[in-house]
Amino acid sequence: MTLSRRGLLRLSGAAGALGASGSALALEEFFRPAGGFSAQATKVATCCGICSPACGLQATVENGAVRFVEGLPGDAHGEGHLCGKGAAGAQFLYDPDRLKYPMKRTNPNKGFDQDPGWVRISWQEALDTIAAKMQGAIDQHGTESLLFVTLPAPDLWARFMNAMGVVNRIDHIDVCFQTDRIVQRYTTGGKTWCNDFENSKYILLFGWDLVAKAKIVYANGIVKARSNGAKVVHFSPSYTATSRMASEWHNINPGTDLAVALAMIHVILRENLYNKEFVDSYTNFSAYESQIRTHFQEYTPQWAEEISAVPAAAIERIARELMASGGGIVPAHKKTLCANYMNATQLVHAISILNLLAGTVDRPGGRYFPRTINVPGVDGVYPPPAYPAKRGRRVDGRDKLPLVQETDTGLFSTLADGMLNKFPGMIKFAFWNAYTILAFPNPRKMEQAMAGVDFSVVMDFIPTDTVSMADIVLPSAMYLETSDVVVRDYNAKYPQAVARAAVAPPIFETRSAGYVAIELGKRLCPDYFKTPDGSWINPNVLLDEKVKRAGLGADFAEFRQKGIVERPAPFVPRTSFATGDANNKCQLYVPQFAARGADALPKWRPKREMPNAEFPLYFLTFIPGIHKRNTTQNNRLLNEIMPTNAAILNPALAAKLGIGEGQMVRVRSRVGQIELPAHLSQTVRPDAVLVAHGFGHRSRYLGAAGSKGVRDGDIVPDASIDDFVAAGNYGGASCIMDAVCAVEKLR
Amino acid sequence: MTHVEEPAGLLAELGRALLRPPDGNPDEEREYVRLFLSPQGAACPPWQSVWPQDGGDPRLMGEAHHSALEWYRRFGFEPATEQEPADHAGLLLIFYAHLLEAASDDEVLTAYAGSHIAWLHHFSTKLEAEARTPRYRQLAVRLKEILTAI
Repeated sequence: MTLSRRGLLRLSGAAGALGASGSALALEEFFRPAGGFSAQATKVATCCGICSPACGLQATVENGAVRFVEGLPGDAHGEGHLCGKGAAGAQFLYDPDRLKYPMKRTNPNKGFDQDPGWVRISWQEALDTIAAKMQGAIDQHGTESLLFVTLPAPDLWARFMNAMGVVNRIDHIDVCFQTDRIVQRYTTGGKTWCNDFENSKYILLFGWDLVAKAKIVYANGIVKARSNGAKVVHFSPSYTATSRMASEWHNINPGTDLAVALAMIHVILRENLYNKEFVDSYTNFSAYESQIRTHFQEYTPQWAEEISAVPAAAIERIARELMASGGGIVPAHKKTLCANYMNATQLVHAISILNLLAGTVDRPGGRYFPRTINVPGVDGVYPPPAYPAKRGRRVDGRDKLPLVQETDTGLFSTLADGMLNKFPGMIKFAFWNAYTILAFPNPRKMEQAMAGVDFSVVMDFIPTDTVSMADIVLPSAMYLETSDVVVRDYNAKYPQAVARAAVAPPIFETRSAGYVAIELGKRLCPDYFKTPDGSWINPNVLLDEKVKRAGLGADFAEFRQKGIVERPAPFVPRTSFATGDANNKCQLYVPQFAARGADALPKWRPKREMPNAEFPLYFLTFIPGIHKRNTTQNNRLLNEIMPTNAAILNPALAAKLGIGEGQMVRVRSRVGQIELPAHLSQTVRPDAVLVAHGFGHRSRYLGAAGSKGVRDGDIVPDASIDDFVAAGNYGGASCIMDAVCAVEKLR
Repeated sequence: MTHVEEPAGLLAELGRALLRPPDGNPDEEREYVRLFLSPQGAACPPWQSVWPQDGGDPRLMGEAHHSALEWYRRFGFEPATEQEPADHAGLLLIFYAHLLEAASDDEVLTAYAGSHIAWLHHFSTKLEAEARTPRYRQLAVRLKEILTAI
């Protein structure tokens, strides 16, 4: 047989590649003379972008590729180390499943069982199409028909949404720290990301597994605190790494932390244990003393013991110890606690009061405000024309919760209900930026809601489940490929800014969200994307301007050479607090809450769901320390460490139900069910089922994470905004852990 | 044994067909994306690093990228763009064609083929199994044949 090129010509249709010069032509087309790539292995400094503390990182780069990443020696945040997620950074960058080019769907039928018939398109076509679809939705149905599921970041992206008057922007803050943000705004006057653990004498943790889950800087802080002799008390319904490191651990009934915190305030007031100097000078306690004392009278330790199962004597002792320590801290943090139950807003209010009574707000050993460098955003560098008023109905019903409406971030937990039941058909155009439906309670309902949207754009790094519902897919650049100025607001006792530098050229056609904002802005709201001289905003020039105006360097290149700019300064405790109080004092009693129909002081409210005859068990979830939410499971290195989830059951419960290690079980709730193997462990209570979040990606195209494990969210009910109003959930806590379930053995 | 006319030209054309989707044929265009680029997990990713032979994790820009670049540089070339990993099957084939045409000695050809062509047997088997259109089924068959023949 002779294999000739004739067949191949038909095959390739490459009419130009005739004759013996075929290979020479191809070589010319796809190769160039050597000399462009930097072949030398070099170490390039930047900062991690997986979570917000921005630990210093150095990447070893060779041949235009990141070989590996490691901690940056001498950096105050990571102390030269990265966490497991950070250390696996190069694998995120080079995930073989990464989205590579803009694509459009050619099969209009959406769903996991459909082949979308993707075809590659140019960025130009993608952006033109998106702009036309957006404008079409606005013209026919108004701005309220647009849904943006995205953070208001970067600043260019926020400008684009503001310029378009987008009212339905939603991010995950309600499943994270929204309640704390709302409460602290009025109790201390800001968001205290910073916890001075290393100087703390007493650390009282409600729920937060900070040793396993937190930022390196906090985990190290706890270790230092223990070495310095600090006492650490941990209330948690599951035994975690933090419980192990704590001086004492209390197996509290799920969702009853509020009762314990209220009772501690009761004890502190009854025995006048509070830091009198701080409370009198810097809080509104004296102005509302009688209301405050009366309010907490009913919350006795005995009352709290019945609800929480924490002994009254322990509550009294811990309250006394915390106050006597002279430097105690009660941190509140994110999904581990604040957002998880219907009573989370009241809880973080009680926690804020405990810190105020301890007198350590913005004091050594306490929660303090970050000392930051003021780096102007795009609106500072190029002031925009006036933004249009935001008009239209809020699909998630956030306007029914005035304190949430003020923050204007939206609610994951009520979005599906709003789209399907409250305002069916209202959303016509959706833009998803780096969020998956796994992040929602009851994601199945969110899938139904998404299916009803006329046109969806998904911008992401990897083909998450959300991509299955997209009409256009945009490939996102990631933190090792983009440049920015990062101002640290964790552990910021003095101002610090870090250069995030593109350490490797972007591969394929990945682009940043800032690029998309500018390009859509040119097409839809051009006046907002011009500089004073009439030229388009250039992101590189903008970056240079930010650096220059913040005094970080002559331009970004110079700042990048420095890597980290620190401005050490003595810590001067704050004496004035912008809480809305006429005298600029911190507020225990919050009159602004009362004015908005909420409680001026935290009242006891139960969690949403309590065990009952049909669903006798608490459903608890956690995020493993090796993963970030639902975004890292496809990283092969992290997947190897923890590839899937299990139903973690106490051996006593398992014995009662006849369940053995590894046996398949079904977990059911009022909204759904999941089937997964059992894992028996003493770390969970006999009246609960514990399941790791982040697994159960249905996209079988995620080579590592696809079809592994189950979605914890399938057990967790979503909510209607009416549920939240009725329950006094005025901070919009998402109830992402507020569920009960039943478990049964499968054959 | 199969005789190949102008093997270099054939290899180069196969390489080209792997690097570029065909113009003006929507079905084949969709199939190209589904096989090689799909945002929902390409059936047959064309980068050598995604086919680790040592049991390592599949990834982009792995050892094969570095090694391929070394080969290209040794002969005075590098890929025209840094946005495409150097171990793309199309680039590797086109460069192999160049080595054949440049009448490189057997030792060089054997070494290069061992490092960067051998894995294409696995690739072409997978491609043959996955391809749903005539063009890509044929491409798989041709690739297999020529790899066996030379």
